[in-house]
Amino acid sequence: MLAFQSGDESAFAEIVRRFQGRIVSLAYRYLGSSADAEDLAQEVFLRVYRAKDKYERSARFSTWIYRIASNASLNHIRGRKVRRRVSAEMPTGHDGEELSIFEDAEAPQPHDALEKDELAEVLRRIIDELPERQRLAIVLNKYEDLSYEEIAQTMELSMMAVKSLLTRARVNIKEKLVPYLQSGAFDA
Amino acid sequence: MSSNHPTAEDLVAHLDGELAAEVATGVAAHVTACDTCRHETDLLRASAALLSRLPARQPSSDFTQRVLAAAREESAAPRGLLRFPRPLLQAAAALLIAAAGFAAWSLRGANDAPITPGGDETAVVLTQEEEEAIAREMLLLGALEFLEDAETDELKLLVEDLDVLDALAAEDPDPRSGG
Repeated sequence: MLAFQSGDESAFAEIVRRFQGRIVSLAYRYLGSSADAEDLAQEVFLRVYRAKDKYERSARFSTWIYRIASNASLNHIRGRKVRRRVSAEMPTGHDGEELSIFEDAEAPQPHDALEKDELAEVLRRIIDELPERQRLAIVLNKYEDLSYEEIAQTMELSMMAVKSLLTRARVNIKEKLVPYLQSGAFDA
Repeated sequence: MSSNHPTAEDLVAHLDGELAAEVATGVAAHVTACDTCRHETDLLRASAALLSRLPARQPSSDFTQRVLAAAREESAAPRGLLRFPRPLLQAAAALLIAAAGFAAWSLRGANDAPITPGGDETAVVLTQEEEEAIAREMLLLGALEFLEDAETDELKLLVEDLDVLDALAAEDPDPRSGG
């Protein structure tokens, strides 16, 4: 990144190669769409390109790029909600945050043995139903292996707020998966 | 059964290895001894383990090239306003012109007599129309400066606000009508 700041354009290409896997995966797990994930990931790297002069040497680059990716992800979700122009009132969770709308009513039932793709679909739905910040915290913690402190720096929240977000997300996920766990639909 | 159950936050943090050592020891001991908390912990652990089965997504083979091409295109584009997509610029300009028009309209006085600075025969006398035109120009200049500095996302929010302005205009094109 320092080389890029100094004018070495090839350094930017190296940044993209090193981080594309993580950023595309983060975007995919957060948004659930391959096409959206690559669009979002491209936007993240373009923001890095535009904002290179704003990067401070004292900050870890991975934290900085994750922060850009987090902000872009949240903006994307909020923009998606505006574009949908949902007329019905959005359902809210216990903390008042909006939940995504369940568009496909044909979900596999917990008592059925699930194929691998069906399992992924169930997990995808559960993650999509999380409020946007809980979803982001879970993706950063479970899939990007960020510590609570790193998540706090990335999302620019306090440690207490991160713990609260992750706890609510994990409890939400557990409650939705309990029927599947108890029925044995998922092999151990 | 113990009455000092750990909170859900402590159980989750304990599973994630994020508790301070002395607190972790206490939570672990409680979970071992308490059937309710052990059951809750087992469910949290099992559900978290299942999450890892959500597949990852690798970037397409040409992803790097597409990003670099987009970055080159950006750096080759004229600096300033023209780096924004044309429809976005047009929408933002329409919004700001509407705002400028409203501001100019709100500057109308009770009468349209020229405003004359008190007593100075050499002072320039401006009509109300000229005053309004200058106000519009100043608003637009300020708006253009804002566009120069704004990030794309801010402009997108402005575009969304256009719908709000349209709705307001449809309700009452002349706010002074008293209707």
